[in-house]
Amino acid sequence: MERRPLPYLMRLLDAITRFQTDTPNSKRPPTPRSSSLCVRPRAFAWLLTLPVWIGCRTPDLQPFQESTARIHESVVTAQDRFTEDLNLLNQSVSATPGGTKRLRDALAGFTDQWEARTAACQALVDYADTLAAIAAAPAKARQNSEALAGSLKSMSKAFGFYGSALQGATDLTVELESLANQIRATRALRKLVLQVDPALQQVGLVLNRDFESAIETLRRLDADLEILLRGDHGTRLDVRQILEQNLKTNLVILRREVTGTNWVRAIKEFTSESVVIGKYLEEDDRWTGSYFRSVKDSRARLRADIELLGAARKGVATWARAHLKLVKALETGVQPDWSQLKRSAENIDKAIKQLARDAH
Amino acid sequence: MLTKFDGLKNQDDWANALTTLVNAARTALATPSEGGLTRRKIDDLREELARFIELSPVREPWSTALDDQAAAALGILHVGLLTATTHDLESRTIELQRITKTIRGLVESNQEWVDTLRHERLGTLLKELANTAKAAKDLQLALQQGPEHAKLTTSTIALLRAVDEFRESVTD
Repeated sequence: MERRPLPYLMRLLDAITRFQTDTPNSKRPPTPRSSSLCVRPRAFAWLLTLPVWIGCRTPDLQPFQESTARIHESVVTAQDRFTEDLNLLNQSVSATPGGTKRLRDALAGFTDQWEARTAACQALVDYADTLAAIAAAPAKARQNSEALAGSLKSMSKAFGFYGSALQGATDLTVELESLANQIRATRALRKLVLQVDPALQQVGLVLNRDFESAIETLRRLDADLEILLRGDHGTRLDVRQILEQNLKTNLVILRREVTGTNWVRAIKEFTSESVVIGKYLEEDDRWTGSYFRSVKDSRARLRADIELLGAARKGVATWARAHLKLVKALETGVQPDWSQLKRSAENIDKAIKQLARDAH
Repeated sequence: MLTKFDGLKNQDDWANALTTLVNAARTALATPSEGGLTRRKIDDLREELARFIELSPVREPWSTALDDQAAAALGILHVGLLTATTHDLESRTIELQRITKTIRGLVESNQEWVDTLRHERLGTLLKELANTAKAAKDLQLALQQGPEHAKLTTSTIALLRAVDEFRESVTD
């Protein structure tokens, strides 16, 4: 009697060979089947590459996914914060006819443009999610396969000797299918990251310049803050300035006179005038205090926002570099090092949380 | 530098200097030019207005009113800076929108593939399991010459039926 060489195993190998050569959305017509090893050399060719593919693992993309989400969050937060910061100009521009409308229109124009940044970042979040989904797909598919294999193995117990063979074949199917899925996922990841990388690097450059532009605008605002918030405090601020100048002048006089013969009179005059000025300034604090507090609070807020934009700017640069590392990792099969990316994402997260704390 | 502050002696001098600065600000804001150039012009004027407020004779009663006008002009210059920032962003927006569209397209096609992998594998595994059962049948047929022939054939048929039913239930 002539025995055929394990036809079911041949079919499994054939199936795996087909998986390996498949690419996502492949339109290739199905390969004609044959049960002969002699006319199926690809099955053996695949076996020769097996040790290479055994080490094939999709990278852990969670850190990349999380950092992309942080960058998106920073872009959304930056828009709100920037707009609120620029509203500090309200007091100053309201003194000019049409000034308030001019500011409102300028802010609307900025918001329109920033929307494109938010949309770009949302596309990148979706991209990072897709990468993570591709990387996770083999594991999820394996869970399904194992559940099905378990059911079939339970049924096969009734087959005695042949049942054992069936169980072995089922295990082999699951293993080979899982490996094939890893290969397909790794190939899909490599293809996708290579396709997206030029666009992503470009987005990185654009966002870098946008953040820089926004930072420069806020720095200028910070530099002129005292003037921009003076509003109707001008007269009181001028009086304070005169009195403070008087105090300084009196101090110079005192230093000069205290070594002379009239030192007692010099001290008396200095003291009495200082008391009067001190009382005035104390009284004036009730009016100008709100101005100084406003300058202090606004400055703290502006600097926190500049810090956030700075962290986001650095984060975008690190994130673009991390994507390049991912391209290399998928080419070499080495897991990418996400440590720097994680630090950037933490810095952005910290800056946003700090803003939230300050707001309360 | 438009203003020689050392030469400003009286109210008229200071008022004229401020008028010159405000007119220059109007021109800078109204003249369409490269974003960088506008910003540089605005920065120069900002600096001069701030210096005007700092150096104006605080002891003169008219200086506060002039400072207030200078502060208002400074506010408008900041609005001009905001507009320049917006123009700067705008110069990159079309390119950014094109890139966003490209990324979205790639994401959508790959998302479809991820869904296919999850569902297609399920069907493929079932198909392979059915093939395995058929293979068991082939083996059984090859070993037909045995006393338990009838029993094995029945079992194989039962297995095929079970797998088919199982497949149908999952497909549903």
